[in-house]
Amino acid sequence: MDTEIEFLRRFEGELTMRAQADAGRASAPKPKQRDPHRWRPWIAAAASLLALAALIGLLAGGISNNASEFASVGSAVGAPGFNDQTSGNQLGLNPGTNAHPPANEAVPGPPAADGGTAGAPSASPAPDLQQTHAGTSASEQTDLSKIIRDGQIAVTIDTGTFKAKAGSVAHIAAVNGGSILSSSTEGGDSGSFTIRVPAANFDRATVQLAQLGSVDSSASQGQDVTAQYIDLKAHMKIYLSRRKVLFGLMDKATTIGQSLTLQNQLDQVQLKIDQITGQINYINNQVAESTIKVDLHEPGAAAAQSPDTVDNPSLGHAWDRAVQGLLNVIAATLIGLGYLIPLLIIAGIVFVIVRLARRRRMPVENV
Amino acid sequence: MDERSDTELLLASRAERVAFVELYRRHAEDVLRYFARRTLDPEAAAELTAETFAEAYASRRNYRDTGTNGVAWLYGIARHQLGRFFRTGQIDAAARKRIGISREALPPDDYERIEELVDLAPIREALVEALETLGEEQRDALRLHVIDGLGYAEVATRLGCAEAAARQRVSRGLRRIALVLQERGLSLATEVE
Repeated sequence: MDTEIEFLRRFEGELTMRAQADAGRASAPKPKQRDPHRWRPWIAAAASLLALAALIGLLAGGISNNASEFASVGSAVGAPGFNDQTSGNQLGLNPGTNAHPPANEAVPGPPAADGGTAGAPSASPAPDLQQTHAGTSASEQTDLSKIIRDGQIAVTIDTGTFKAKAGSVAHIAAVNGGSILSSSTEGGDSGSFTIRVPAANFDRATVQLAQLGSVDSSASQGQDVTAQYIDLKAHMKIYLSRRKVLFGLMDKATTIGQSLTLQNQLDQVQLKIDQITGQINYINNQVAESTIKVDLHEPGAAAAQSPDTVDNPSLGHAWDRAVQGLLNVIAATLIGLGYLIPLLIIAGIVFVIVRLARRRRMPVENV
Repeated sequence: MDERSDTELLLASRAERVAFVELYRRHAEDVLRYFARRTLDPEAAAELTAETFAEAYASRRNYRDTGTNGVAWLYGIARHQLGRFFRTGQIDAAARKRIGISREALPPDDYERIEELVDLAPIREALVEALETLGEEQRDALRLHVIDGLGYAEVATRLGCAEAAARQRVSRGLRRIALVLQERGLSLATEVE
């Protein structure tokens, strides 16, 4: 460039270099473009294999085994003769005979404050209740999982006995080591109660409640939170060890910045530990005690509808079911792969042997 | 010597990038003079020239041959840069950054060379009037350099400062005067781009 101005000459140099670099880049061969769909056949093959494995797993009983496990849990939840959503006739309580048992025979009498209308309070459960207790002890011993058990029961009682039976409900809660959480009455002939009893006494309490009159309907639910509980415990262990490490690092921190950073992390870990502790305590509390909603009403009285008896869909249950479904499919797939992989290996070996045999045979045929 | 016209060079530079360098060689000094006459500031003029060519290089694909000389497109970019400079008092470096060219300081000797590109004679009268708007240091430096025609070394000696400081005072003073004259609607440019 024919100029005395150095700035322009320098800029020309830079511009030239830039242009040449761009030209070199443009003329460089473009990297060979790979076929973006080259993985499709492999993905399809893998998907087919997994689908086949899942199918085999289902046929082999992956789901049915799990289903039977759930069924066993369900049976553990259900009290003897106390099946989900069954009428009183299906409870095995023989309501025809027990529908109107004398208050002082089958059901512990209400507290003395009741005025003695339902008979004297009994210090020990009635004989049939003792049998029930004996019957449930086996399930209690084998029940090692974390299961939250809840139930509802609606009972028709004799006309004019509501007050006495209401006292019996409180008494049943008390003799089973529980208490009435809430109650509401309507017109003196019907009412609903929510009682909490130790989970170990759930079956006994429900049977005793059923003996107050004729059972119209009953239901029980068992929510298995064992996996959630184990997860929480595992998380707790991790966070506790993390906290220990952070404490160790805090001792070695040499600057304010390090200390602040570690303190911040410690606060977060501690918060997690507190949250998990709360969740574990909540589960323990829920597992330790069961909730039973009792609806008592005399014939002709409108059944008291406690707000708590509205059976709203539970998102928690839905989530649990979804997770169970996912795990079931994964389990079935794994089972299917267990069948398929040996078969594929055998098929591969046979294929290799056949190919080798053909190769050996080829020269002979050529001759 | 490339015989192609400016328009042909601009069009060719889309694929043949070095053709743009030829365009630069042809017009860099004219563009610098264009800026120097308007800003009266060698430093600003050089920077604006570099930024104009960088912008032109970066956006050369946007050029469309409409029948006029391709260099008019280049001066369109220059006018845009100048307008922004007068509006903000800042010189953009975005285009240079975009194409990967670093910003460089103006070599000391270039100050006087760029001033030589500008004929200050026609504006001496306007300068005297505009000088009154400057601070004392800048005014003294400018008076010695532009009106009395002294070199920077002599200006520095008279003012008792370093030569670089004298150069800076003159540069800033000229930039200030250019802005004042611009505000008054006085154009120092004599050529028509």
